[in-house]
Amino acid sequence: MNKPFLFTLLLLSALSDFAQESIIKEFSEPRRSTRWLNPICLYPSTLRMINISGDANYNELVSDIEKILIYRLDSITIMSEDYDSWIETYENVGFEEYINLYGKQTMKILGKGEEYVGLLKVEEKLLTFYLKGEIAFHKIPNLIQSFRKGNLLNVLTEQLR
Amino acid sequence: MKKIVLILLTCSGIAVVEGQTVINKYMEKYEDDETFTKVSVNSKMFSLFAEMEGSEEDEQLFYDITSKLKGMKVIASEKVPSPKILYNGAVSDIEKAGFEELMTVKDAEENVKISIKDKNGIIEELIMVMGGKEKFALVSIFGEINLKQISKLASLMRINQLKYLENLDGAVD
Repeated sequence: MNKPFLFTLLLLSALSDFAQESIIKEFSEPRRSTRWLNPICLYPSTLRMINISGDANYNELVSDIEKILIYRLDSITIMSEDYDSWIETYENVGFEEYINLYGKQTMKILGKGEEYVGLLKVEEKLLTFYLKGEIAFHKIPNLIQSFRKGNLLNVLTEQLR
Repeated sequence: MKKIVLILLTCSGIAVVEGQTVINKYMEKYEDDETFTKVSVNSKMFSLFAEMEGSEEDEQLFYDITSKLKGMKVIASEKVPSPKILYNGAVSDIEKAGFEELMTVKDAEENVKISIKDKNGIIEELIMVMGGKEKFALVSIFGEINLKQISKLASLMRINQLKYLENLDGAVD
């Protein structure tokens, strides 16, 4: 494979990833509730850093995650009925619906390859997220328990207050 | 030739629409009613609801079972004003949709009916309706279903309504 072709391929791949992340960013950024705080953005190094108790299961769970981006959205967006309007844009670029839960709580997760996007609405809190990488989903309940037990530095405190 | 292709495409479209018609009807009817929790899960995400204590054997079995399934839909409420009417209505809808009854459980607390629909000997959908004094639930599992494995799947998942499917173990040869 010649070098210019390989370069173009890598560039297109990078641009494609950026475009898919940008859909959720463009929707969430102007609607985030904590304007004085940045959205939560976790990379492999920060994911390991918050594991203050050195929980081996947690390290294994996050070992293949490249990036997590979490936004908490404002009350105006919660009251609006179009807080999930961006999901259609992801479906149009090939993302598949993995979970759709609605009633008193709302949870939507879509995925394509190693990219996942979703939203979670519990009571008066609404979060959107983007995850790049692989994760053992059946271990997530254990991860939540770790957060509750304080084994992990609670980086979500301010956003979820 | 074009006509044949058109007919085949139309028929395949109908087949897709036909799947999960009963549960879709209830999910649409109670879409805006917050007393009902509605869940639709792609089989790729079944593991999010699984409870496996790190046993590799359980994990392998879980992936074997779910590999041929397409998904699951659940609509449930802990408090409905007339669960008996809702239960009887769902049972009637299931019968009309051509499902074959597999198992019925009746006790003082709850009534449960499990039914299946097959095509060319392959079970494509399993539907379970549950009605209690105040509760109601309808569960649909679809894809290629192996009844012998469904009870194991139910025992590995943290979804309350699936506990009745664990009874299938004794009902299937």
